[in-house]
Amino acid sequence: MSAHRRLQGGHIDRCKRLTFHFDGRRLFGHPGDTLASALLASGIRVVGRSFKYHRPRGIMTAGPDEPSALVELRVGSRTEPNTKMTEVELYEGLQARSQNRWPSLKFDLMAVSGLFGNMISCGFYYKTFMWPASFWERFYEPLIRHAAGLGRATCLPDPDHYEAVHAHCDVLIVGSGPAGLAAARVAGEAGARVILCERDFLPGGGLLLDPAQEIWRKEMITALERIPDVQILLRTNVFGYYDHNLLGGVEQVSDHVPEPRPHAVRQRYRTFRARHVVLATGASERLIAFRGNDRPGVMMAGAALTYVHRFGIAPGKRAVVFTNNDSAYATAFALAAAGLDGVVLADVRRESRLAAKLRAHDVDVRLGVEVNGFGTDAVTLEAQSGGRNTVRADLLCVSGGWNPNVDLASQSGAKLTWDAALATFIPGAPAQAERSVGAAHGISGIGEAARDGLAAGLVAAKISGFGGGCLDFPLPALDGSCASIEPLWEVKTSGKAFVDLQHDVTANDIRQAHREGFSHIEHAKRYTTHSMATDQGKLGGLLGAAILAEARGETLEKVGLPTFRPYTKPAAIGALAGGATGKRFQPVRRTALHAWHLHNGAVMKPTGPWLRPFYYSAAAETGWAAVLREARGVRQSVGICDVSTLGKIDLQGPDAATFLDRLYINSLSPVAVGKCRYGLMLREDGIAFDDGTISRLDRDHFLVTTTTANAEAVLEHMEFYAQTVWPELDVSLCSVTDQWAQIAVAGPRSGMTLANAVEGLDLSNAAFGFMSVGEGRVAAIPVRVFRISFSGELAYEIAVPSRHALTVWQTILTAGQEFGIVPYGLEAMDLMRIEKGHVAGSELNGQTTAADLGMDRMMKSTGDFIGRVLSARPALADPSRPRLVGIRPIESGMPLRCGAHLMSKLGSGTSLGWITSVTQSIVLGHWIGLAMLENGVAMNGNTVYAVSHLHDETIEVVVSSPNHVDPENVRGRS
Amino acid sequence: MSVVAADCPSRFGELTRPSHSGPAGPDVISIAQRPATLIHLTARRAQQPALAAAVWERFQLNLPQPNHFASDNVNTLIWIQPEGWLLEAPVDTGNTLCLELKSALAGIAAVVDQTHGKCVLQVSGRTREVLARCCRLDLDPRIFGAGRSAVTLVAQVSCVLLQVDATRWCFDLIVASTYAQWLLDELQEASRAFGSVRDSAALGK
Repeated sequence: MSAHRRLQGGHIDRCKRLTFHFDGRRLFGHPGDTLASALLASGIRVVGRSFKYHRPRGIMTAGPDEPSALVELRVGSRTEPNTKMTEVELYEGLQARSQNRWPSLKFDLMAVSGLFGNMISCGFYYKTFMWPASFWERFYEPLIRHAAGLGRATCLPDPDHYEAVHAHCDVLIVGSGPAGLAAARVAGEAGARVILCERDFLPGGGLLLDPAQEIWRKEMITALERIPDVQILLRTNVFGYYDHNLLGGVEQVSDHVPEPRPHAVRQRYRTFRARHVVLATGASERLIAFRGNDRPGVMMAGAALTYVHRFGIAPGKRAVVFTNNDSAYATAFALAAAGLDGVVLADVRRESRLAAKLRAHDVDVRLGVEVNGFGTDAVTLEAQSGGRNTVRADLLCVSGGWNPNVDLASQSGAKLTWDAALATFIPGAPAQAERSVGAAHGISGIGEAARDGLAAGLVAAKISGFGGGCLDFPLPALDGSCASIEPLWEVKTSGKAFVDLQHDVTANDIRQAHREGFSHIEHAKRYTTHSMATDQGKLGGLLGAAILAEARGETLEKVGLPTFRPYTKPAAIGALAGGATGKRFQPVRRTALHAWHLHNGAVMKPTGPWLRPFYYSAAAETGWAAVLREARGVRQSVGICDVSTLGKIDLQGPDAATFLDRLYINSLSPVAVGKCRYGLMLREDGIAFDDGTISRLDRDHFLVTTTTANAEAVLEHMEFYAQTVWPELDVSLCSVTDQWAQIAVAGPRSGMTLANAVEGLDLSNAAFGFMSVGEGRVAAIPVRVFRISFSGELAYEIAVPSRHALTVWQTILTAGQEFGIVPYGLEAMDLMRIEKGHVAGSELNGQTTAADLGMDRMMKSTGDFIGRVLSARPALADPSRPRLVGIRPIESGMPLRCGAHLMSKLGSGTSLGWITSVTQSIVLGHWIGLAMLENGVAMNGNTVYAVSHLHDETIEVVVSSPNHVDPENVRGRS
Repeated sequence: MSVVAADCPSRFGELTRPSHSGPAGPDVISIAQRPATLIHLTARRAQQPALAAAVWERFQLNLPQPNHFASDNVNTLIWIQPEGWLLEAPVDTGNTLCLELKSALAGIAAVVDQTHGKCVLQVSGRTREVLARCCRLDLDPRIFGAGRSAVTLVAQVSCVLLQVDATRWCFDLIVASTYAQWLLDELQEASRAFGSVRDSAALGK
């Protein structure tokens, strides 16, 4: 046992020893230790260097309020910077490194106080380093980055798993101190579903600091564990409180072991939906600003008590306790009882009823005394009555009073109210179904907190419909009232008195911010970086506000605190993402033919959620070879393509035709049963929305197809109009995208191929002309056949109930074998539609009108439709708007670049339009493209420059009609 | 039109993989696909009473209220949207049921075959823990008891979720067939800590 762990008791398993490393040193601790307690037990005082000034820093707290003792934990891909060592549960083999020091912790070359320190006073980002601008990237930023900052994140991928879990309960209790335990037990015994969250690895909160309460703590936990509907979540920090009693938390499942067990997650993101919330989040002790209040050896009084009673450590050899309230008397008493010599308690108050009792235990109690400086092993005390003396001490415990942890209450919408007796803000009236209890509500005393929690637990259970819980468990005795606090924020002296240790913000910085006009609490926070970062200003947040209030000459109540937002404590992004990373980032949608594609060499491409064959790669093919082979196969003979991803909407009802006439710019009611028609729909604002085909299956029954990308949006659009705008129309809509697999068969021999495969339908041109729809059978499976073409060739689409897709696909492949049928993918399809001049997503991009796309002649002359009125707006009707054109390079060997700008002359700064789609034409033997070009129709035949700044390329292109191939559509109709 | 479903090939037939090497135990989650006929019924304007009467006559089932289903263990009617229900019936090789309903419900309801559009997955075992990892709903039997259903997101995709047996934690999940593989994979990921078994026979292997 180390010299510092000389005390008995506490929650430490002294029978087992754990080995760990800090900055390469091999050290020892015990189960139950935190990294901080193990370091203190090993006699280590300096654990890091500060953010800006590189001042040596020690361990200030024993929990999440810690501003200084941050480490880089673990190694390699599990490296975790900026971890508070006060929250790290010690495990065998733990490795930690101090941060922000160079070259070493003991000898830090960056600790230059003079010139450099003045350059980075508050607002330094906005002032010192502004000019000249060219210096910023090369000089200032690297300098600041090297000097200031925290730990380094790893660049390696995270090897661990995370998951997100949804939890529901009647009563959610945050915090397992006396108030939380009592609330949980009474609600649980009443029959409510209870979840009790504790961020620590031991339940009990303040009970862990009082050995006399240990029996009650254990009894309560045993009782809670016996109630089936009470769930206790340890190592679970609730970080955010949102609307509708939704709260978020992170459970550190495996952070207390070297690496997660097989199949276990590292951390679990939990969302809680609770009928009622009890916030038993406790209170945080606040600092007092004085010279040297950041030096190693300064510790919050409550933390010192924790180290003595929970961890069995004497955190120093000679101690001074500096306080303005009663709570620190327990610390002085505990330190004296632990055998520290000459414990001095300096109380700024002139009288204290606890003084006599403490003096009886050999504590030197000095009333009406302030600490005005802490140097090397010496505390300077100054009596208000005059007179100053120095006390030798290596430990200075500070208590400036207690702030209820109001983060979650404030986030829930409860306004904070000023409590003059406590000199702090407490949660006001709840805005949601919640209640703050115990220390979180400004109540002191174990027994008092337990009773407050019990009352809240009863109310919460009753609201959730569970009453009449029997209250047959004992509660701890009441502490009785304590003397009031004497607010003290700052002991004014020369030298740096810190209000925010993590960002090195001093009391003078706050005053400077006020002098420079940043007087609102939110402005002062941002200008000075006070109350930010991993500790969220727990120690000094109220201090900064008080110093600002004094500078403004206003009350602290009026100045207030900055807004509390999630997260109360840092949360790993990995935990928030849960499992939704990499391939699980978003849902993957597979067509019925997916497996066939994979077995036949398809290179799959994600398009939205879908995975679609990009092309089918034969062994020796590289580059564009496969795409060109597939497209040639279609143009010369016949190809087959899986187009199941098209959106398909089944539309029925006596008003279906009327409904379609109002949706599309062209008339659809005249379409005969057994025929289909191309349609274009606009958004309400007159911009083109989506295109597709509309097939009339029966008088009151249509099948509408949409683009793959817009399938859901179009259905939603239709539902919106059917339900809210035209409720008088009797129509029913239903997505049948998944019911039907769809197979395109295209090419001059597609008719002959299908004649071999389709039964029960005459496919001759006379009987089944262009834009016909019919029913037949393939391999005895009933199918729908559509004679429509995206490629411009003679083409058909076969719709088949999706589980039969493979049979039908293979039957058609066999039927086309004699014609050399070729499966083709997305890229060949794109190639052919660009040749044909058909628009797709690049042109239907949410910025183009029907006229821009050359489809204004489709608009019906009479009758209204969605978007008609606004499409006539002057800006949308302007004839000089960019219009769809075709382009080709003057030099036929040159490639075109998608996204290139079109300019009338070289070096022109004015873009006349841009290239939307490009491909290599197999019909023409060179690159072609589609583009949007100002005055596009009039520019036909002209030459413009295509400038791709991205590729640093400029080439001359000729403007043409977008229909590069077969403009008269002879092929599709023949 | 009619569909002859002489056989009903599974969406998972080609891709079924062995279950991952998670810890095995008696309470692992078990997932199986149940072949069924699925028909979407949407009442025409003001025709819900007529639809209810026709459904009662044919199936002796009442049209269930929102977020509920009605079942006689042969046929199941599930509320899935205002004035819209999904009928789950035994596999119907001749697709005769759909044709029969189209004719019987002409002018009363739109009848759309979704037999191939959706998959029914039966999930049993530690479903509560597993579904809590991919579904936002409170599935406690006190809240979501027997006879309750919901149209909700499970693993980010839209599903119809049915509490089939509240005492044994058996749920049916009805999902778009194009998302079925994704859902199966996600359920298996969610059961990582417990282990899972795919009933490969029932998945059509």
